[in-house]
Amino acid sequence: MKKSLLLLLNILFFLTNIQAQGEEVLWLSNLPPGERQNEIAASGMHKLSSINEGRGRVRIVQWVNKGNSVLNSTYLLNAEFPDAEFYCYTPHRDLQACLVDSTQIFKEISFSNQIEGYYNLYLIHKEIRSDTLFIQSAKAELLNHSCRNGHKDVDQKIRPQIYPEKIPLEITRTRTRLENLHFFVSSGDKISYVVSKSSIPLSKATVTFHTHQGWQKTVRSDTNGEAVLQITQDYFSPWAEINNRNIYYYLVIAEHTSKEVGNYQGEPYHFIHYTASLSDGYYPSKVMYSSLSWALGIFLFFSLLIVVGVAYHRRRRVKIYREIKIANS
Amino acid sequence: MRKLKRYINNSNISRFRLIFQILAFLLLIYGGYVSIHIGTSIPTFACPYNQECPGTCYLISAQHQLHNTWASLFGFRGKAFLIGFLTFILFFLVINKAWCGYICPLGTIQDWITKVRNLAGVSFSRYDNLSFKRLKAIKYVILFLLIIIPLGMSNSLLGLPLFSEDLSAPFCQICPGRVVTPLFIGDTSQLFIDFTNTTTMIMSTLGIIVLALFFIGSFFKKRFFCFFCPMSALHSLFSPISPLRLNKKGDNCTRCGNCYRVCDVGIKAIADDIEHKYMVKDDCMMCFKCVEACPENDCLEVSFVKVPLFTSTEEGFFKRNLHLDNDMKNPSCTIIEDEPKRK
Repeated sequence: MKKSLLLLLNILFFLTNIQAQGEEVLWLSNLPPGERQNEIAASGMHKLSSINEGRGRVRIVQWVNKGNSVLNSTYLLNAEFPDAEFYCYTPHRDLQACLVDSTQIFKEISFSNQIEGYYNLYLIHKEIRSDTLFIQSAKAELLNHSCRNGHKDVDQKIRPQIYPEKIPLEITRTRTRLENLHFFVSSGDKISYVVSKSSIPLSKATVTFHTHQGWQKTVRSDTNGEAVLQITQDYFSPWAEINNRNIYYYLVIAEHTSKEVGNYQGEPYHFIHYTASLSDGYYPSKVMYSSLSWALGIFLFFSLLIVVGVAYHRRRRVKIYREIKIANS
Repeated sequence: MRKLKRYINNSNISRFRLIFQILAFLLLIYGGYVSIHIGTSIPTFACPYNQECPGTCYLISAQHQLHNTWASLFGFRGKAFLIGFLTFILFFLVINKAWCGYICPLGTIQDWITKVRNLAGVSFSRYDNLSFKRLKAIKYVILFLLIIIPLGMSNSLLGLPLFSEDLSAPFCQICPGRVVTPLFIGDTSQLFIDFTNTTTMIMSTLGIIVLALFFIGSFFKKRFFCFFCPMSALHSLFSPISPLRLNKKGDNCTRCGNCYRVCDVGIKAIADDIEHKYMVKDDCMMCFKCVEACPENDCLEVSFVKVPLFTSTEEGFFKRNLHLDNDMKNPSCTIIEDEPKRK
């Protein structure tokens, strides 16, 4: 009887998971929508979208996207999800005010960044459907750094921060050993993400990684809540693009369903489905550049070697003109 | 009918070939843009590393199909290999080695490089007879390795350990077509050294060295790469059964040597051999420049299922006139060729 109940419960979880995967995930994007591209500047080495406020001050801007991958997402209209909450945390863990621009067609959130380090911007949206409460948390870790401000206390500035008091399910990129304020994720990198629920690492959460070109991979978080994913090089830059070092964007989505009974806005629920998203930019792999330059170097070296060889060979075979005198006798 | 025959015999086959080569090049490099797909057994370098390629060179298909255990090769997968091979034969038999002379994109690129050399006024090189005989065996060695390495990746050969899987399709790792053809669609992705492990590093470096050889070699020696091409070796094995033939009537030959002088590959037998009738030697690419340059009536003849298509005529030779191109007039080739070896 107990086994049957467990099986039934599992099936129910499975079905709710399927339903959840079909949901459109909210995520924060650094890419401005078409009509805003001319008005928005890319500031700093991390090319964060920004609005210049004068006197060297800028406001970082992010947009909300709706969709299950980078490719197949649409910008969220300003009128959609009016009850969504936004939080912006400074690198000093202070809650800072962020502005939702109601004059724009698409939902646009901006905040001013004055402190060096990672700003965490969040969107929280809660919705109840049938007997399940859907909680979506979209997150962006936005590094503010200018070399003019020096490179002191790097470890402190880049340290990942979580805010369980406001964000129920959070996904955080683990910092690498050699990471500094100039760090940028590159294709080919193995990146570790930690999923935590109320500050406790969550195991067996579904973590799906989407690349800019639409490739995706799903893994489960381990007992430490960790999911390791490698960014596939799913594109090869054309020559012009290699020079420009274009940034591509990835999206990581963590999902978890748990049986929790409660009430939300007067409606009862028996399950909570958590979705946490995190998007960031990535450069083409540095190995790609070194591999290409090595290939070009070897090609030029051997071309030169062959040309010299052919020239030498030809020189050796040239007949020296000699006058032949025939004796009359 | 006689008028048509006369018109063809007097025509400029090189001009026709140039146009045909350009069209074939456009098809095999950009055909994917218009959703053309010819298949996976094409008997020429239609390189799938070029994403817009409308078909696949048979060598890559064969290497992948041979990368199987004996049990699967003699089972279901063997049938796939057999079908692929028969398709290749069917494709090939129709126009024989003219695949090389008229269709192969790498051949066309080499011809363009030759044109650049001509414009630059640099003299070209030819192998002497001994080097010619020795070097032409290389393509058969490459063909042998191309078959044996994929087999050795799945099966222990003579008790040897299995070859590294990183050899993948070994010939494609070193084929210049892998790098060159994608460049024409602006794709530089194949120009790399793969640092994944020692095998991939060696193979990719070898590939880049062969690429340098391809460009520089083709500049100094006409159709340089064709001499080492395993596809040409594979063609040679089936060439005698093709209905498209290049025949010679030895009795009509005066051994003037024009045919040899215009031959891009440098086959001396075309001028010297007056005993054999079938003249498609293993390196011949059936460009038919020899037929054009032959001043003797009915000495050289191209036929399809014994129907003559293009025949050498005195009238045609004089009408074409200018076909003794710069290379033929260039004396540097003969100096190199005829000089005895130094001790």
